[in-house]
Amino acid sequence: MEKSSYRITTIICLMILFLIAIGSNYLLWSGVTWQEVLSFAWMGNENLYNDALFGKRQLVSLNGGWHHLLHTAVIRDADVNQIVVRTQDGSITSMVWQYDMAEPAENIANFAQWLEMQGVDFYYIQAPYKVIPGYTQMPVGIKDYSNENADALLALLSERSVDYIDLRAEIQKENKDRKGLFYRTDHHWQTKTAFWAYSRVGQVLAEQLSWEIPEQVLSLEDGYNITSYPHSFLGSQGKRVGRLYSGVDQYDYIAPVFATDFTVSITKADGTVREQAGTFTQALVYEPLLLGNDDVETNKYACYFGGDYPEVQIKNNLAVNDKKILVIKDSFALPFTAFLANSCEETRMIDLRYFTGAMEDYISAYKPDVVLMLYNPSSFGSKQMFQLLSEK
Amino acid sequence: MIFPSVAFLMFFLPFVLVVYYIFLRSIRKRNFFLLSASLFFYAWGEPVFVWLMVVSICWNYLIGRGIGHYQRMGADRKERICLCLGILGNLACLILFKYTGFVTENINGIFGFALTIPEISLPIGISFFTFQALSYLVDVYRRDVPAQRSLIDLGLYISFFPQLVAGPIVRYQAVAAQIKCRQENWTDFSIGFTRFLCGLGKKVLIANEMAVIADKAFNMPSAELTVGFAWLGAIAYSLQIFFDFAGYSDMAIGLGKMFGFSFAENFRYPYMASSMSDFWRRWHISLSSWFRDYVYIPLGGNRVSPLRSYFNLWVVWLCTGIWHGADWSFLLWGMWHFAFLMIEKIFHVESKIPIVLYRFWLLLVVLIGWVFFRAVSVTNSAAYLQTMFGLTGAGIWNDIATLYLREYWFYIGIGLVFSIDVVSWGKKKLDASLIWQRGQIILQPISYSILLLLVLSFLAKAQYNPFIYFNF
Repeated sequence: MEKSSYRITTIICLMILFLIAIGSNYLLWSGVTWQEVLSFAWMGNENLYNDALFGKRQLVSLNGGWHHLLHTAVIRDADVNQIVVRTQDGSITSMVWQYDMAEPAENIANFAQWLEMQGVDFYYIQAPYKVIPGYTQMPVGIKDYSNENADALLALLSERSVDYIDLRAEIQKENKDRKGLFYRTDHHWQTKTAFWAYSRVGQVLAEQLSWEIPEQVLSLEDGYNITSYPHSFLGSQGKRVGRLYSGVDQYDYIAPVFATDFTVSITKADGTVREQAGTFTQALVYEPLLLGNDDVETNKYACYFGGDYPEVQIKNNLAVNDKKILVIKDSFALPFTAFLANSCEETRMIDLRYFTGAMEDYISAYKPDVVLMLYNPSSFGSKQMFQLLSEK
Repeated sequence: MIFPSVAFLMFFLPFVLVVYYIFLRSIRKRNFFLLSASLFFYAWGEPVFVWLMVVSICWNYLIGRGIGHYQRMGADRKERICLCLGILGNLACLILFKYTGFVTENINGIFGFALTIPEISLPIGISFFTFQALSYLVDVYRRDVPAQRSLIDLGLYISFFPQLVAGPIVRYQAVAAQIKCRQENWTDFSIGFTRFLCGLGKKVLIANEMAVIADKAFNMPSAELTVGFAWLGAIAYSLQIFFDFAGYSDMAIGLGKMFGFSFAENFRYPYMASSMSDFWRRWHISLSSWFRDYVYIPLGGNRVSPLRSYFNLWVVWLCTGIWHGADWSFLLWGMWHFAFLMIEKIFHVESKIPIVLYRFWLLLVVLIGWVFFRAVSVTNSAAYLQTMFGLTGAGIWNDIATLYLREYWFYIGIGLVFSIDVVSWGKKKLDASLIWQRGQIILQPISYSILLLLVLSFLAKAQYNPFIYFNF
């Protein structure tokens, strides 16, 4: 009987192993030459083989399910910056390490000073992070520095008289419902939160810079329609731990109900340009990410513009004013800028992770009325994103 | 390449199994194929050092043939010279790659020289395959086995991939007959495969998880380390090193069986030992028996005066410590074990103290030894131990300790449970039950399937997990 047990066990387990092995070999050998495969083996580089693991997503999900069973609150990752932590409300997030904000603050202040000399207004916009002060509880022993870093940065900017909008403080002031501000499974804010941020910034532009912006353009209830896609979005953090651990988010797509006409030009990192034109949805949305397929791992969050690019130009052909905005951004600005484009004649986005030109030349040529710099605290670790001026 | 990796499980092993069992029939072709596969396995990421392996095989082959030749001629002196050359050649290689840097550093330190400390990469598994080669030559010299006439077969013995990089150290006379003639069968294959899966589970699910705690504790600045977390780290490391090494041995033994080879056991629940001597009859058995047969007994063993036998033991433990690594902390670890072995030998304390108490005492001694083994330096190990025993004024507990205990309680629990022989105990209790006997045929496949999928899920998630004993 015992021998039979071993034999049956071996047959079943070998079947599992060979099924995955055959699938993995198929994935490996499609699209690579045997020389490439051997050269990776020679170097001991196993990435090619790891990437070809058949059923990887399902296995990661199974791993997440195991951790969910054990109520694990911290899930390690091959990338130490992507360790996933479960907070008290069941949401998942990554930690932000402590950074010295002196140099980023100095760079922003110098940039603001240069812009002032050019007669361009500047606002640094501090986006919130998933770890919300007074609400989010990290597991005991886990320390997140996102808000400490942001506080330090804003304090230094304040010393240098740089204008900023702290959206975290605005959340506190308006006593917004903290639970629904961010996706459970993604590090980004919900589309509604991005819209709220846009409306706050729009109010600042209207009140402090006397911009003419119709109320409907700034009002979610009056000017926009929300299309919800339940259980449709597994965000960046959810992908790393699997849906059995994180669950799946609902994605909300927001678009104007008023008439819109845009022309958009997106310069990609390889230098090619994608152009779109038409209504808000036709011009600003990369539809394959929104309606392309039912795969929850499709990055629906990036459906506005399709992702992060070196430069995006948006011309509002039905603008009510002749204002021009430049947004220096991280990925939090994608939905934000899409809505912002309704408030002025031209909006451009620059992503310093991919933009290789000189900002001074670019701004001198573009001549924006205002430059907005929108960053979330998880971007503070990138020195490149704070290289604003060519000369210091 | 390591066993718990996608490359091995999904590409190398299936390929080798399919070719071995489906396309090859004769033992000669199978041996040649296994040798080729083993050299490929070793060459993975170490393309230069595979030539070292080839040279080692050829060197030991020629020396072995030479010893055999001079044996037939009755030329004892030439036979001994041949053996000495063989031993010197193997040890020179080991010393060059493993100890040159350490020796140079210490010469500089002691004599105030400024010699350049060479940065020599360590060929993976050099300590293991060198000792295997040495055991072959000595066994031939002792006439325990005839010299191997086939370069392929000897190459297979030295480089066979299941035990190439982390043991167990297989004696040539134990496998000589199996290399020449073995009968693979489905029962052995099944037992081997399930043993392999057990080893995978030990490594991936227990050892790797314990490594997270141990690494955190031992890398933590002293000022931040609390007493409780220091103990947690030390216990975690004790579990890590056991399940890492025992798990690897299970995989090696299991893989060997899948190809028709029977290797001796390398671990027998060492944390259940009743004395230090017993511990070393249960821990890394292949290494301790190697030193017994090739160092201790040739020196005279215990068939000499007591003082001389203690000296012989001291030499063995000096070598055992050094074998593990080129650092004073390994030497200290070896001497630590030697000291407690001597205490037992001279004072027979294990028979004078109640067994339960003595076992706890023994576990404490072994645990402290692991602190020497794991810490990056002797100074670091002293500081760590001071924290463990509350001699630094450190706090008892903190949030970090709570975090790691809460996150890893399950793995600590199963590690503690499976570090004792619960499986045999459980089997004895259940084997009498008819329900169990009948249920086993369903439960076992389900359990192992879940184990396999869980291991694969961890590998998919992590995709990076080096072995501790990889660098020996």
